Amino acid sequence: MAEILCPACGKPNPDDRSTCQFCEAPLPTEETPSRESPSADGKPIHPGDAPVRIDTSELEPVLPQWLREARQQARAAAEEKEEQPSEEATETPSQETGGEENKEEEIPDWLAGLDAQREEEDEELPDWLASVQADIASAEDEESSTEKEEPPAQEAPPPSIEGLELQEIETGELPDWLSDLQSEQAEGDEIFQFPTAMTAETGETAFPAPSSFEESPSAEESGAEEPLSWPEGLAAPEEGASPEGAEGLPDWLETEGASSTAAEGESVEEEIPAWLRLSSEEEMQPAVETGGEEELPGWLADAGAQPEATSETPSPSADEEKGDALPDWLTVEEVSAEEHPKPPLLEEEGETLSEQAAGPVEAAVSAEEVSERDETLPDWLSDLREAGFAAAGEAEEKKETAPAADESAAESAGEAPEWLETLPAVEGGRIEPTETGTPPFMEQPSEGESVPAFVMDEGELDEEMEEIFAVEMPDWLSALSAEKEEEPPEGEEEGELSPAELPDWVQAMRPVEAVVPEEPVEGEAGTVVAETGPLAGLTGVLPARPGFGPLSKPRPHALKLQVTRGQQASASLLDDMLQGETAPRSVAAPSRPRSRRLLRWVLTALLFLVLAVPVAGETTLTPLPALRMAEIEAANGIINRLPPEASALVVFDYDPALSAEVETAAAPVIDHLMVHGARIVLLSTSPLGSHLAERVLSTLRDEHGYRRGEEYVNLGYLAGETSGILGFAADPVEVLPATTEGTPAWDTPPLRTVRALSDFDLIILLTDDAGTARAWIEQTASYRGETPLVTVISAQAEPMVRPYYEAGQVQGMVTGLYGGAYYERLNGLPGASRRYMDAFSLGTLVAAIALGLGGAWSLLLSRASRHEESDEE
Amino acid sequence: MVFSLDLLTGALSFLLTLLVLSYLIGDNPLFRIATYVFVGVSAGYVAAVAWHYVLWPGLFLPLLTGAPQGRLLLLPPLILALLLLIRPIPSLTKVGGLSLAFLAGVAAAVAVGGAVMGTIFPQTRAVLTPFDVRSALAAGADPLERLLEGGIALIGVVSTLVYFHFTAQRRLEGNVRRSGINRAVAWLGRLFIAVTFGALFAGVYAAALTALIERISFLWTFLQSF
Repeated sequence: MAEILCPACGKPNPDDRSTCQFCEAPLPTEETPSRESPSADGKPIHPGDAPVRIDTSELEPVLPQWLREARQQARAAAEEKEEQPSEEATETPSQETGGEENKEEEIPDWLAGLDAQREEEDEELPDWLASVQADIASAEDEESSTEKEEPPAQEAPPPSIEGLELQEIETGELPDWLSDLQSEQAEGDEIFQFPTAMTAETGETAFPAPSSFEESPSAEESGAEEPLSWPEGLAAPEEGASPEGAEGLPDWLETEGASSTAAEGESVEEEIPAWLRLSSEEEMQPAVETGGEEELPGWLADAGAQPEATSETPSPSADEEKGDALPDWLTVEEVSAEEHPKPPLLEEEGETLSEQAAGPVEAAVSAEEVSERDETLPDWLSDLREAGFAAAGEAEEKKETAPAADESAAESAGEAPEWLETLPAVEGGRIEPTETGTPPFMEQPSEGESVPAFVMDEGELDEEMEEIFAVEMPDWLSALSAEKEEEPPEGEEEGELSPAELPDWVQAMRPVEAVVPEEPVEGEAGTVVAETGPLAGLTGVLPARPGFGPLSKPRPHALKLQVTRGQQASASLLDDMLQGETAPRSVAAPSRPRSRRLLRWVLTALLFLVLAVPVAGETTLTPLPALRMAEIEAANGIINRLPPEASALVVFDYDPALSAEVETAAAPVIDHLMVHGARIVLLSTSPLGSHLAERVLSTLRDEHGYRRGEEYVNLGYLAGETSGILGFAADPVEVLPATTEGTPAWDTPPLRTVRALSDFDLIILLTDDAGTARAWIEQTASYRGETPLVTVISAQAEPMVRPYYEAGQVQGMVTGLYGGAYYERLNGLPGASRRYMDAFSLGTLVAAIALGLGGAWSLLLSRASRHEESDEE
Repeated sequence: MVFSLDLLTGALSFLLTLLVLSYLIGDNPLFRIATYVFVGVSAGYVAAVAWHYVLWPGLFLPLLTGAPQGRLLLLPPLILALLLLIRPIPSLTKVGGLSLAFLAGVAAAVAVGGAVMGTIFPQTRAVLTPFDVRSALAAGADPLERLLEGGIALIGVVSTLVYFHFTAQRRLEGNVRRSGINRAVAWLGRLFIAVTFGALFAGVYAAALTALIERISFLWTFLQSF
């Protein structure tokens, strides 16, 4: 079975219930169009709205005059009580006093209308009630003396009656007996609560009064913490503490009793409707319980004695005595009470009591208290109450109170009226259904069998009630019944009437969930109310639900990847490539290095053979270069044009590795210088250059008679490379002041006329590095002046130095062995270049052939590999 | 055969030459011995040269015997030299960088200045000079020959420079390619570069071949002495 969560207390309830079984709050149902109930002025109440204080005196006009008069009397009694607070405090029990004070303090604002109602006396009384009041007015004088003798506590209405008054205000048009029951429900939380459904079934209550109480936690707490005093008042006479309990009767009730004792019961009985006669008996019960027999009128005393007698000693003699003592009209009333001992609203009392007893009220009520109070209650009511508690015990599996309830039920079984005795035995709070599935008392009675009116069929009951109300119902009640006829079915009744009659402040106190519908309801303009989240309660928001999205079913998309054959082929190819990359490869055997080594040896042997043979044979098979070489001729011409004893700066900037080539090329040039008698100044930017210079001159100086410090001088090592060259070009005397021997260089004959770079007659640069040649060319360009620069360079530096010769920055150039040989030819003095020329030529030829063969072999290999690849493919 | 110093040096030279030539069979200890001896002797000789020809006469001797003003002027070079010496110390490496910065800065400045004044301007002028017919006629040269020679040089220079010009445009197809003219001139420049590298290789081979011939001649001469 599905459960419905109570919006007020949050506890689960069966889905067949319309109200919460714990707090009596109306449960949300599907028929409920919206919880956003409009307020009295038709505007919806939203969360956060401040409660509006409304004067409930608007409801007062619908109350009957007799009820308003009763309230007025109660207020008068309260005022008198305020005048004598000290006496009341000493004579009344502490709990009762406290209960009264709490009651006065806790009067809600819906009772505020009482003040406004005090002075309104313009309602017309019904005839039957007017006659009663007339009797009351006549009897007031007689009882005034006795009332003055009563203690002040008697003047004040007992809590039970006060609660009755309050409940009457709430219930409005309810009859007395039902108002009494509701007062017990509202105030007697210690005993039990009548469910709202029960009162709603009667159709007498048009608004959910219990919900108004339950939605105000303060009222519940106060009621729980401070038990109402009227049930205690009910138990007071049983305890026999004092007859003060009977003093709590309201004046109107006392006057009514007085009027009845004035032997006018028959006339009154004729005017009082049957239902009121029935209720009068029930209404007398608490009065009898709380009051003593001495102060009550005779008829009321007898009526009150009956329950006591039945509760104590249910003997037939007592019944006979009672029947004798009662007036006729009351006898008839008693008979009618036996015929109608139970109002229709109690038809479902078994179920409702069991449900109510399962609620939290049960925890606050003990079985003993219930049994004690049952003794003061009417028998039929005590039985039903016990049955309700027993049912609650079964529902909660707490059967601690069950024995006491059963005992009291058993005790009162003999006292039950006949119709009640026909009810099935209540065991554990459940009425055993008959074969038809319905309780026995709900089944159609047999002919001739007297059943109460409320037990009758609904149709018959309605008809009978209509007859009763049509004949004897007061005007105000007739209007209500007419309204009832016009009311829609029960389900709609709750949804339409309950919110309309609730005060604004009650509806404003509803939780937010009570305002927000469970399902978004589209408003008139098609707006949507948000359910949850920070926008809860707002209208016009986009709903997060289907409807705003595409209405059609989304097109299904295949999860399988759709690819074409070409894409699959490409993917497979890529996969193969990746696998080929990751797959290990077998390393081929190193066969080629072996062949290369062999080739190397072959080439080495061939080259050595080609070179050694001409060197060893000192052959001159190769002719000297005949092709004119302008740069060499320019160098030769420069030297030839040198003046006698000219100073020539010879720079030895080559490494020992290439000394053979440079020296072979430089030898004829230096020899040419010595032939012309030039004074030679040796210099080197390489640390090894000065030693190489000495080695070159050592082979030629003896031949030409050159001496150190006289015909040649060695300045040694010039540090700083490019910077050193620039420094030397700028100020040679300052940079290299001494020779390698440490003697002043610039005083020697080769340098005696030289103080700057431009003072040299010739600058000859011997180098195997193009960079060094460029540095000398660049850094000395600004300081050379007209001094010619001749370079004797290695063949590997020629391509880089030749542009400077072509540009005129270098005036002569001798390159490598070939240039040296050419220079020797110009000088006519064969030297080392001529001896190496055959070997050089053969070596160059072998290299050219090897390059050609190697290129052809590589071409063949490449073609062979291509053929192999094509064959493999 | 008379034992002399020349014989000893000739024998050492012969032995070291054979050790170097042993590289024909690959990297071997004999070759390594020759290289180590060469490197060691060269380093020692360079150090000796630096001390004898640079440090002592240029720095320490003036500091010890020079004039006071000359001494003060030599303090900065001395400090920079000391900073270079402490550079191997890890904690003082940055301090030694000051000397290197000074040397690099000075060398760069000198190189740039020399390149501009000694290479770029003269070489640019040299490229245009052959097209001066008047000067060619005055010099008695054949103007047509000089124009042809100058034209080839100009084409070679321009095409070589264009080859190293890598600016290109993005085509509509997405690929990046140089223009057609650019690519044609660059291709021509690549030919000039190839010829230049061929000449360089030939020069290197000629230098190496000459050294080998000289060594073979030395070996033969040394062997003939016995």
